[in-house]
Amino acid sequence: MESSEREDYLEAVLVRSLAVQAHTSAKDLAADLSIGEETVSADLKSLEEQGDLVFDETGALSLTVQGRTIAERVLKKHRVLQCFLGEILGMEDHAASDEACVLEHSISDTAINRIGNYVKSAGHRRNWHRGNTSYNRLINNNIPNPVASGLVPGMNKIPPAGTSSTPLGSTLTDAMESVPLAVIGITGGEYLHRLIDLGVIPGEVVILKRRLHNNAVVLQVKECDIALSPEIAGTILVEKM
Amino acid sequence: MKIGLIGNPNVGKSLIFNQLTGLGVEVSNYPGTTVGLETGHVCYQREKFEICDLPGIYSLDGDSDEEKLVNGMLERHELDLVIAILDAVHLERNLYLFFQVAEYGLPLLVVLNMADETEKSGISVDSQELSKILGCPVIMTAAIHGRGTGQILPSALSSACPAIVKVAYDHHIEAAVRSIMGNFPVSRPVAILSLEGIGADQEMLDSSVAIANEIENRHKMSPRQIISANRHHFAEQVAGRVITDRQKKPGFDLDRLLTKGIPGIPIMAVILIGILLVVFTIGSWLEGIIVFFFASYLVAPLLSLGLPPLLQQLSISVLLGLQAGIGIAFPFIFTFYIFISILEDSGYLTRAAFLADQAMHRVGLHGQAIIPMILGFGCTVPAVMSIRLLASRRERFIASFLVTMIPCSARTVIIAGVVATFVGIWWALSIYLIVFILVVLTGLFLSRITPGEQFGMIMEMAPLRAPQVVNVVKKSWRKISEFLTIAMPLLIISSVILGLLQYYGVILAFTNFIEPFSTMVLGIPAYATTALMFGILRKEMALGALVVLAGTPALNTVMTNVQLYTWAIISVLFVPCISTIAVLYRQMGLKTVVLVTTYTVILGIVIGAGIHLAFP
Ligand SMILES: Nc1nc2c(ncn2[C@@H]2O[C@H](COP(=O)(O)OP(=O)(O)OP(=O)(O)O)[C@@H](O)[C@H]2O)c(=O)[nH]1
Ligand SMILES: [Mg+2]
Repeated sequence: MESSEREDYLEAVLVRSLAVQAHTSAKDLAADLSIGEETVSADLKSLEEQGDLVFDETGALSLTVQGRTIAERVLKKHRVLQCFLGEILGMEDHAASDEACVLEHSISDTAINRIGNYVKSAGHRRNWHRGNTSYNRLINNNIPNPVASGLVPGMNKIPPAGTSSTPLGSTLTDAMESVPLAVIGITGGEYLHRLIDLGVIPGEVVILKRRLHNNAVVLQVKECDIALSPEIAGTILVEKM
Repeated sequence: MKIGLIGNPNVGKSLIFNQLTGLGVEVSNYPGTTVGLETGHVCYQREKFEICDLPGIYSLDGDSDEEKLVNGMLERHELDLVIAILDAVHLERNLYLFFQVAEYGLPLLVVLNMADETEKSGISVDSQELSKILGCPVIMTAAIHGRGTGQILPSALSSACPAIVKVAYDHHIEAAVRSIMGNFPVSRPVAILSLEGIGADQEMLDSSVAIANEIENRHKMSPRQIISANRHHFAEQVAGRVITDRQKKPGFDLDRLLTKGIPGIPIMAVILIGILLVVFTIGSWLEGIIVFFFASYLVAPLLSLGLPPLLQQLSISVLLGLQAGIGIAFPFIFTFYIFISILEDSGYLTRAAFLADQAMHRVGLHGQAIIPMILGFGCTVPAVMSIRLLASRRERFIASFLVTMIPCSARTVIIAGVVATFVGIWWALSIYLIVFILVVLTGLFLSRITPGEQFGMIMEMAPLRAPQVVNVVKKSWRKISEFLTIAMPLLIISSVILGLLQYYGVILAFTNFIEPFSTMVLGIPAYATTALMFGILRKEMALGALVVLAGTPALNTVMTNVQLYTWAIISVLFVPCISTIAVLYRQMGLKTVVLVTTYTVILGIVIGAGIHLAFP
């Protein structure tokens, strides 16, 4: 088995254990990774032999310390890459995630640390009114549920466990209607200037007047109503007052 | 002396321009009505002034065509005086642009428009205090009622002066601006723009970038962001000093219904289909009356005169041309424009755009593109021009196709005059359904194959207003008078030429030539195909020509229902008219025009042939 495959398996097990907190069987993994069940069983056997994971008597598997270390390293790389590709370079969520799935295996630790630092400082820069960084929020909170955000390809079918709203801040696409919200940052590059001209700047108090089921929103800024497409609403970070 | 009207979108610049110059440029209640520069002249105290209506913008440092146009005029000192038009209701947001304009140091007059609406939104603005703060004259107007607009020119000429107000930028920004101005011979606003990374002088940009990076490292935000934040902050302070909030009258917010998926989307469908139905009904009723009048009081007496054949042919042609123009086109087009104007003035278009955003994403566009498409129901020419409000070439390319396919009012005349009248009103609606499906398919296809980025919608919602009867009628009249003065003579002349060609047998020759194709492939009489060709000049002329060539307005006596239906749908789809081709060429270039034209011709023939195959 190639090392990237090994990492994919371990990452998938970790993501599942973080999100669903249920027993994971070979069958679940087969569905998550869209690979045939027989292949998965054989692969898992060899991972067990390598000491990455163990099966209990019911057939549920869990990671060993060794396996978990590898899985966590890969998952962290995935999150940093996804954040970089999505938030800084402005790629679509899904494309960013898919790309991250490939890159996470080959990128070096040095490179990932540097990208991590860059994302962190860029996060700083966006929150130009306040000192807090959106990096931590993006890395740690904005992906509260790796399954729902499509961290692992093929895992989107699983209904998310728990809610996806975050305590610290979230984008307009999951804010509540008609309550005052404070803008804490804008993550998308392309739309930044027009939004700034209209007064969507950090610290500004805005009201979400309408959100359609597709997440197109009407936002009240400086007494004007502004209609935004979902992909733009998704770049505006807000928190409840 | 050149005077420019500058302000945010939808604040009433064009309405004021019309009142100052007596011209009739488009005034509508959605942002982005004016897309290019409009100029007019006015004489005041024996002196001639040139007035420019500029497109509405939100700032001078953006990279849209409109922003570049306005910024370019300021930078090149093309204007001698600026009338800054601000929406009194949204003063704070409007001041943001004003501060930028003020930096150019031109003589300014501030016009606070929409004074009638401040009351309603529960605020009052102290214009004298504002004038004191800004350091230039401020007047209040309510252009829609013509209140205060008479004061604009006298005040501008007597007391306009450069504003003294200055945004206090962060001191690092101020230092950087001073340093740029020390090294290069540029004005303050140009130096500020260059610090934001905008400008033409590469050397200055390079040195600005170095300073900008330094500021960015220290502040963790770019100079552009700092500058914007400073301006907004300053606008907030100024607005706070001149606005007094009073109790807002509580009232029912129509948007609670209009912008919700349910009932918003059903309401939108009812509005659009309702308009078509009402236009068909009113139009056919009027048409019946006018045609009856023509037939019994003009055509019949003429025939009974027993004139020599050539003379008779000619005079009948003139009458038929007149009849086609007044009797068929006028009732439909005028009623249609009335409804479109109501939609434009009510502010509803922006609600429709918001609701349509999701659907429009599917065809590679975003919500705002619904505005050119709805305008397209009126006339394709202005609709194509308003494609400019889309940001990328990809979106404009896709929209060029979709907008030209939308049945304009001239094509509505054909659908109404041929299908609704002779085949049935629901059949007429089915043509819209077919066109709608074709538009969607075309959009789906084009969005897959067209390269380029897709942008999202950032659109200010226009306030909902009850349209004023006078404005609606005036606007519709302006459009219909264009029809009367340009299309009517054309219709009559072409109908005379047609009559002559018919008399000398030329039409017969062409008809014989086209006969096999027409009857075998499309299943319609050859003269009907000949008539289709005239649609290239103007769409309603196809109908005029059909009436002349068929020799009677009672088309159901010479063609079957299927033939009428086929003919109508082909002429709706087939070839944009010559004016559309011309604006498309100007906006998008030769390649797009050729593609759109070829595509629509093929589409028309294929659909026509398809119907003939299905119902031989
Ligand atoms: N209530 C009210 N409405 C106004 C007033 N002035 C203009 N309007 C309306 O505001 C809308 C916008 O007017 P326009 O003149 O088209 O605005 P514009 O600034 O040229 O807009 P763009 O061309 O999009 O930049 C129209 O529906 C006008 O009838 C006013 O003083 N009071
Ligand atoms: Mg205008």
